[in-house]
Amino acid sequence: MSEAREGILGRLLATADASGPASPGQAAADGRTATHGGKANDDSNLDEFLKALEAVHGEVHRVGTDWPEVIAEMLAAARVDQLWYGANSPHGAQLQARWPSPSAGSELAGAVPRLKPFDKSIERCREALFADRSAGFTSAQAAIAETGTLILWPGPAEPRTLSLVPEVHCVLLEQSRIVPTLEDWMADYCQQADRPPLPTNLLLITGPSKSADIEQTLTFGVHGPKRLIVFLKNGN
Amino acid sequence: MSSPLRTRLREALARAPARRNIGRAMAGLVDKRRAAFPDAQALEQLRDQGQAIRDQALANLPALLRELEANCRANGIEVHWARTAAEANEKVRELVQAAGTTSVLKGKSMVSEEIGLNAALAEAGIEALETDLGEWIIQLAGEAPSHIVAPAVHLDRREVAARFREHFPELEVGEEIADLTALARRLLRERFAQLRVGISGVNFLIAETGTLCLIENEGNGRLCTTLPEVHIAITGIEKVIARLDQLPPLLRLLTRSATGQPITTYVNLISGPRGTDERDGPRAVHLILLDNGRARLQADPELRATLRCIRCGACMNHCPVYTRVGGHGYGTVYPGPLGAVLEPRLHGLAAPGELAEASSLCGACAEVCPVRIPLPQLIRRVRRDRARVSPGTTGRQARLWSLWAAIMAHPARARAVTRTLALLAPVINPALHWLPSPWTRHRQPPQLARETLAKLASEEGFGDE
Repeated sequence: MSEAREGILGRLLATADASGPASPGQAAADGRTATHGGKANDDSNLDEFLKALEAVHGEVHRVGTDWPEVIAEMLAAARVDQLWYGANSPHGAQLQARWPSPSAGSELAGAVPRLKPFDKSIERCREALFADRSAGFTSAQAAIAETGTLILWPGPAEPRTLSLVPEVHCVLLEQSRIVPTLEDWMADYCQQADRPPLPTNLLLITGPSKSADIEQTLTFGVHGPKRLIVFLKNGN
Repeated sequence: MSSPLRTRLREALARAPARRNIGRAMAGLVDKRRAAFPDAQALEQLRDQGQAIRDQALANLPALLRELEANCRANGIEVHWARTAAEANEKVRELVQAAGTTSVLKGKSMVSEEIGLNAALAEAGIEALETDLGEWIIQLAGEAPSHIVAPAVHLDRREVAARFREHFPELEVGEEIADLTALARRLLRERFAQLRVGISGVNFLIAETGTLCLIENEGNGRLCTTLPEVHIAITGIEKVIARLDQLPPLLRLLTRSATGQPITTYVNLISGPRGTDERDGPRAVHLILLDNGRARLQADPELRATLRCIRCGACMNHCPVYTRVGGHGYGTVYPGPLGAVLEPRLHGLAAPGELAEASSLCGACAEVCPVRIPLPQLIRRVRRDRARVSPGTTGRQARLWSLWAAIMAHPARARAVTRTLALLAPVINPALHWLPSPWTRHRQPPQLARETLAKLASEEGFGDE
C-alpha cells in the first residue's frame, strides 16, 4: 500500500510546509521530570520499593545464596508442580545446581516442584507451559522504587512467556539494582555511550495480573500470573 | 427538536441502572486521579512536559513517521499504511488470511473500534474474539464500549453474570466478581493456548528505537502480542513520539489520569519479532499506521491539539454530561468532550457535529487533560463550524439575540419593554408552564417579576450611574 503511504505523508508534508519548520519547547520535551526526587540512598529506595510492591499485591522474600532452596520451599508450600526457567541463563544454572532433590530426606521431599528448562521453542512446549500449578522463574534487570516495578530483559536465555503464562511468577532481584524512578533508569540506559539495543520485548512488570473492569473492583490473576513473588538478594 | 442524538440521550437518561453504575464509577475515578497527583505544582510541570513532548512529535510528524518506519523495518517489524478504515480492515484481513486462520484474538484497541474491524473481519468469515475482560463482556452482550478505558463500566456484577448465563447456559455462573473473572480466565486460556494471530492497538510508538509500547493490567494484551505466530498492531499515525526517554513522563500522566494508578501491571515494549536464538515471541510483527482523518486534523492549526490526546479518558470521567449519560448516550466510538471534537473530523461534519451541543462548556475537561487540550475552546469551534454548515436552530437563536440586542441597546426601549412585561406578569407567568420547551419539561420555568429591576434599584437609592 505504498500509495497510501505517499498519500498520508504527502498530506502531512503539505501541512508542515505551510506552517514552517517547528520545534516547540525542545527543552520542555526532555524526558527528565521535575517530579522525581533525584538519587535517593539505597535504604530509602528499598523501603519505597517494598511499600509500592506491597500496594500492588506483590510478595517479597529476602534471600541469600540459598535462594534456590527458598524458592523450592515456597513453591512446595503453594503446591506448585513444576517450575519453568531459562536453561541458558546464569541464574538458571545456579537454580539447577542448588535445587533440592525431590528424593532427599527433607520434610519437603515429594512436594518439591520439578524443574523444567525452557530449552525448546514454545511451539513444542506450549501445552505444558499452560498446565495448572506451574510457576515461571526469571531474573529482573532492575527495579523502580517509586512504583514497585520490575524491569525484565527477556532474550534467548530467558524467554518472555516465563513471566506471563505460568500461574506464579518468581523473580530474582539484586537489591543494588533498585533505582528511584523510571526516569532514572531510562536516563541511565539512554545515556550509555554504547548502549545495548533494546530486547525484542522489554517488560516492566508491577504486581500480578489484575483487572477492575467489573464495578471498578480490583481482582487479581485475570489472564497473567496470579502471584508475583520477588526474591530479593543482597550482595553475593 | 428531535434527532438521533437527542433520542439516544433521552434513552440513556432513562436507563437508571446504567446511570447509577457510571455515576459511581466516574466519581471513584475522579477521586483516584486527584489522589494520584498530590502535588499541584508538580502536576502542572508534568502537564507542560507532556504537552511539549506531544507537540514536538506532531510538529515533526512526517519525519518521525519515516524514522519510525525505517527503525521498525530494521528491527524486523513490517510497516503498513492505511488512509481509511476500509484500507486498514482490508490489510488486516489480508494478513490474517495469509496466516491461514479464521480466528483471531484481540487486545483492547479503540482504533479497532473506530474502523469497525470486528464486523469487517466477520464479513470475511474471520472470528475476532476480544480478550480484555471488559471488552469480552460487552462483546458477549453485543454492545459497544461505553467508556474508552473501562468499556463495561455501565454494567454491574449481576448484569455481567446474567449475560454470561445467557451466553454459556451449560455453565455454573456465580455472581461474585472473583467468580466472573475466574470464568473469563478459564475460558480464554483455552483460546490463548491455541492462538495463531493476535491483534492489538498501541499506546505509543517510539521513532528513535522502532518500538511499540502497550500498557495493560490483565496480561491479555501481552498474551495477544507474545503467543501468536503473527502479531498485528494497528494504531493512529499521531501516536508516535521522538525518543525513548520521553516515554516515562507520558506513562506517568496517562495511567494516573486514567485510573489513578502510578503505573499499569504491564508495560510491554515490543521492538521486533522473535529473534534468531529466541524460544518464543511472534514470528512476524506487523504495524498498520492509520490516518482516517488525522492528517485533516493535523492541517488545522486549532484542532491539531486534539492529536496530542493520549486516550486516558479523564475528560469523560470529569464531564457532567458524560457522567450522566455514559458513552452509549453519545452513540459514537469516542464519547464525551474528546468525541465531540474528534468524531466530526473522523467522519465528516454532518451528524456527529451535533455532539458539540452535548456539552455545558464548564471547562472541567480542559482542567484535567494531561496534555492540555483546550477542549471547551475546540467544542465552541465545532459549534461555529456546524452553524456555518447548517444554520437551523442556530439561525433562529441568532434572530432572537439580535432582537434582544435591539431592545437592550436603547434605555428607553428597554424600560418600555420590561415595564410592559412586568405589568403582564400575572398573565404570562401561568402560561409559561405550558410552554413546549425541552427546558420546562424538567424544570420550573423562570417567572417574570412584578417590578422591574431598574425600578427596584432606584427605590433602593441606586442612580443610573
